[in-house]
Amino acid sequence: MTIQRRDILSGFLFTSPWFIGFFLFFFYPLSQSIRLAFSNITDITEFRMAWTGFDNFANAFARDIQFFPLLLDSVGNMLANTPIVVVFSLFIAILLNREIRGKGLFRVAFLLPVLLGTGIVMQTIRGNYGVVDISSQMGSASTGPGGAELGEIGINHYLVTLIGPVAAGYLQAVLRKVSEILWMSGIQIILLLGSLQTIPTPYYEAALCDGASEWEKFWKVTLPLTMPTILLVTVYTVIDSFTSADNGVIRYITGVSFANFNLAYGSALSWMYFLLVGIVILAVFAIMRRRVFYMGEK
Amino acid sequence: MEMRKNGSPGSGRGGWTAALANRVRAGDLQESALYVAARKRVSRLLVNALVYALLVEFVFVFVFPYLYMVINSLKYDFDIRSANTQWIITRFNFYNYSQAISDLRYVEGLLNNLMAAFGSTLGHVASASLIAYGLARFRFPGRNLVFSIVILTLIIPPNLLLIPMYIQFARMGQALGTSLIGTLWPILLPTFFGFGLKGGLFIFIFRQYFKGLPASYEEAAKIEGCGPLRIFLTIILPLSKTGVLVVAILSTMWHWNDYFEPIIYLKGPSTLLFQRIVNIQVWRGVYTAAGNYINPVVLAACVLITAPLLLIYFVFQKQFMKGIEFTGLAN
Repeated sequence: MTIQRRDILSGFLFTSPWFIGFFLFFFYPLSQSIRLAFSNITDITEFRMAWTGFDNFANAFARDIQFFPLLLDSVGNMLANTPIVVVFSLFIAILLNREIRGKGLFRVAFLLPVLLGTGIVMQTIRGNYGVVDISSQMGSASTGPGGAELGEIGINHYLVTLIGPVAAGYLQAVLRKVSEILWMSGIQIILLLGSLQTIPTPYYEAALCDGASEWEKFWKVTLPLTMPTILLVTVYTVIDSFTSADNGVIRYITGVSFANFNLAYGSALSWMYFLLVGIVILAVFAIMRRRVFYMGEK
Repeated sequence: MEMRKNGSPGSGRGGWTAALANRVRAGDLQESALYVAARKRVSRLLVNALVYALLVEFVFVFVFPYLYMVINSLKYDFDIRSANTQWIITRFNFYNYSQAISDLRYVEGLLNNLMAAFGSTLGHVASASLIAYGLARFRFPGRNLVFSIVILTLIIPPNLLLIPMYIQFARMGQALGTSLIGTLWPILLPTFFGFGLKGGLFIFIFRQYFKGLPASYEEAAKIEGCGPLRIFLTIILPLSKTGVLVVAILSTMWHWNDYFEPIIYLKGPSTLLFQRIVNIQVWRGVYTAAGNYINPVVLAACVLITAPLLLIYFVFQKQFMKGIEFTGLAN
């Protein structure tokens, strides 16, 4: 057996669980969802559908006035958030990777919003009970759209009287964005921290012997060796930004599918959306390909 | 060179050593060494102070909601309603907690949660690492297609495949002669095949880790006649301890906090803790009490649900340290 053949065999051997999983858990739902996008539901209890071709897609272009603005919005959000989240989480991960006291506590603290945020707890504290008035509890401006929500950095009363409500509103909006972005970075911090820890210490010792400064060590050792994980984190952030429950498009699609119970149209919208997300992800891979270096690449 | 002998290693070359060399030539060797040491200590102190200041600053934003939750869960009604005491508790109310424990049927729910979280974590670590190794190290036809579909599984939010997925599991149950709906199997089973909650992400994580490992280890083992599976189990997996740890943390956390899968597939005594919180909300009539009213029992329940997860994570993250030592030695 040639080496090439052996590689092919091993490749299929290792990925065989995935193939089984694909046919057991993914193929059917996926094909149903694609079929649904080209159909109309005739009987909801039996889940029967009739083929309608591209009608649903045509409707999205011709009739739906809400979908495309939302789509643009979510692309804009992604473009704004992703670089900030990636850079911020790398920064925090590097800080947490230093030899500092109470490292464990800090690590727990940065993951807290994720521990809470993905579950219902956050909704419980945030939405249902009108805790929105938390701004007053943080000693900040609670009037108008400028009011801070739970956990956001609030603006002090005195500042509001000083700079006026309009400026305070803008400032609050900026701070809200900042807290939002900070909250989005928990997973990324963990991923990057894990990657930083796998950089062999001899590399840093060698750099030290060559007289590299901290700054040079970051650019010449840390960054190249973290690039595979930075690619991972970037892709994750893009997907997270596109598919989180807060995303406008996702909310709209969920509304169409479940509140209005127009499953077929919702499915068509989602597939157009996934196509867009897929193209963006492909672009990320293409852009980063030349900058990502793998130690194990033959 | 003389400088080095006199015990001031570690200073960078560049400007520092040049300055030092001048001093050495000038003859006041002792003073300059002390001077450098002091400068270094001061700058390290400053950097550390800055790091702490930054971390504490950010941590506040992160910790705030949790702190808020804990404090309010310990309040009596009059403290919650009071406009003056937002952060102060005049009298501690531990009754909220005993109430929450009995309302949640906490012990039963906790056991379910542990089973779901650990079972699926085991599945994800085992399957995702195998699949990712296949994708990272071997060239086979269709590799890129498989990886693209892995990414696609990440892009599609699970709730959009909800109905066909449910039908699929109902059918599978029929084929097996039992009902899978109502048990943990629809949640656990896909994780052992690289699917399930964020399964694709875990494959992606492992793939990036494995690709980052130098190929020299495997080549040495291959020359000695080791098969690929043995190489994977005895060399690659122990080297990727950090990757395993990250995946384990994330999988545990997501399954612990997941609300969506359990609410479709589970019912009765097999429900997870987050589903049970809804019961409290209904029983206590929280939904009818509109406005600025926080229910301390619900908050106590939230604390009770998240506390074990915090504890698990705290224990896990300590292993991170051991991860470094290990890879350090191996290299």
